[in-house]
Amino acid sequence: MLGSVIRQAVSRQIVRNSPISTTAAVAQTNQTGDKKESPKKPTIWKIDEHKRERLANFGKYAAECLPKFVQKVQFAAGDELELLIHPSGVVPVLSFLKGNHSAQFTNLTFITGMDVPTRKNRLEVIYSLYSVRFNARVRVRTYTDEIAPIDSATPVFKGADWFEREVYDMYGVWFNNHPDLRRILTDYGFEGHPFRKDYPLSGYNEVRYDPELKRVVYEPSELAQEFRKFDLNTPWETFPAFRNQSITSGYETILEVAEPTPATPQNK
Amino acid sequence: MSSRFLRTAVARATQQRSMYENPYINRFKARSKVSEDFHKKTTGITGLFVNEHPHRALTVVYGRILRALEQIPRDAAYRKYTEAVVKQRLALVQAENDIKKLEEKIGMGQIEEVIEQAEYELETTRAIVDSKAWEPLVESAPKGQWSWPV
Repeated sequence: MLGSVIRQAVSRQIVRNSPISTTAAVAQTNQTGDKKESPKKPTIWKIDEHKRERLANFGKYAAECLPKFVQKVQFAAGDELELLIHPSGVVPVLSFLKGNHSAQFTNLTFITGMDVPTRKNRLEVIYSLYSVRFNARVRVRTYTDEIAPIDSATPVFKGADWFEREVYDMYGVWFNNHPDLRRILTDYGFEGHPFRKDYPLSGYNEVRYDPELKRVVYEPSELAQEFRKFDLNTPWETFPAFRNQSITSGYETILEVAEPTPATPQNK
Repeated sequence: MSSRFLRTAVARATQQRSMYENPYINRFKARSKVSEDFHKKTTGITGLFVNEHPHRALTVVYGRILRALEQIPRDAAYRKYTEAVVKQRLALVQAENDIKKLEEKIGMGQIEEVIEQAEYELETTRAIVDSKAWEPLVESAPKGQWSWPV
């Protein structure tokens, strides 16, 4: 009796002190056959399995209704549904998500970009939508390169105006049929796109006030040699509890569409 | 003499009054008017005005949706699902005359919200018809496009 109490206290201390041994403690518990519920921390995000299942079904439904454009349906980070679509299908996919009776994603939360220079199509555009009716969120992701334009989402969501201007400013993605595509965050006459990965951290120009001219002047950047090193990696490990987990451990592919063989062009 | 003063005062008052006639507010208020005997005065949602003849509006919009859906092939998934939903709603609209009971049976909020959903669905149907979204995949993603981390 007293021995078991002491053993429980010891195991509890082990769990509390070091997160690395949590797995070992759980393994020991499994070996001994004791079925104890691990203590649930109130600050850890809990995924609603029922909602996740419904979102997965909705992803399959969307891929079934739009077979021309949906290339992949996946979960990112547990319960975040993502539709990966072809760049030519931005307007029909967003219209479907906004207007379909089973979807009703009437709120455009944000549009953002992403740059992966090693890819063939290095730029990505990410739309986040929210359904007030069903309390659900979905992300639509598509890709492009530096030259090819993407259709603007402004005909579907008027609020996409400034979001797309920001993506154009920071990443250089061109949007067709945009009512007013120009820079929104950088200065007039700015050159380059700062969020691209090949843009230097310090930029190309520096700004100072000139007392003789009595105005702000632009000059090319001049950095002393000892300031040209950019070693930005932190020396400390930030997430030791997740050392053994991959960054995509929460990802799960729901559906992946393969290109049809061109042997049957008559069916089109 | 007095008639001249009177004319000037009237003109001045008219000018002052015209300064405060905001056309947007006037239009908004005009659309916000509801008959005395209607069962509610407002939807409680800004910009969503009370519709006193929702049965007629829904019948018209659902009819347009069904006609637009005829341009989609019969075996397309979107047409099957949307036709089922729209026909069910249309049957409810035609069967139930009481607005409150109709709202309860549909279960998607107020009847004005249902009308708005129907209008959005009509736009969706037209967008899908324009883009022919029922066809097979136009192009697969290049290799490694969706892989993360790279």
